[in-house]
Amino acid sequence: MKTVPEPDAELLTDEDVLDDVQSLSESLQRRQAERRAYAILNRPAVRSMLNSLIANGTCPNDEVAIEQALRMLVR
Amino acid sequence: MHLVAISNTGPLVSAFQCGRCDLLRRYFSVVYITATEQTEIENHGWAGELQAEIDNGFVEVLEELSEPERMEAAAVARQIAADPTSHDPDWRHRVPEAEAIVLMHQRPELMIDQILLDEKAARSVAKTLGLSLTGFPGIVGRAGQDGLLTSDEIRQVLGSCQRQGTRYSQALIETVARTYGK
Repeated sequence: MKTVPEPDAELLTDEDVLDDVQSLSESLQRRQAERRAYAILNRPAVRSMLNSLIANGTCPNDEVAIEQALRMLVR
Repeated sequence: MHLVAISNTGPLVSAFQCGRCDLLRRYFSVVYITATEQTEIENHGWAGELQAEIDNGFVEVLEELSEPERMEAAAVARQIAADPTSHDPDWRHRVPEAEAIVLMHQRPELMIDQILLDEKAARSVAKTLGLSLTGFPGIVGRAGQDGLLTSDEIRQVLGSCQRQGTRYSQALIETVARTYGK
């Protein structure tokens, strides 16, 4: 005999489902962005530039180096 | 693009009811459940379906909760039972979903992106904790948005769950079909 959990549970509303689709979409976008960022940071040329900026003391870490580079580009 | 999820009983049972675990696989690489949820799903008669998903590696049963995790789950279960949308004041019945909420919170190494919850009171508590959540109709909606399901197919999928006892209203099914079906 197959049954369902909480057969008297409060019903989901239209708004719940709209929020759910939005939430799922945001998680998918975030994961996609993480993969893209990982792929870019793993490019040998990019990795080498970041490592040298950190090694010569220009920037303390990847995050600061990337942010400063972007600031220079949008000036 | 695949996410990692931890699921309460309801969304998995819905996927089993309509025979559409493929919709979950479309968005999730793995779905974790707790041992308590495994027992609950089996008690509802879905042991064979669940075992098939465990065997193929899509569903993974997490190791037992530690004592601090258990205590936190009991506190969360009490919160769920006390929620105004809860129709069951017995907190012990809320332990499976409470455990899922606690593990998403307490085990960052699992890198869980979403908690799958269809039940209002548990959803309300998960939201207060800032957890990203979705339910089975939300997954069906997104599948429609991605062109994987037509309006009629959405009606069939959710209607199949409804006919087998899952509390999806006709109005909700129609909204999902019209909003997301192609």
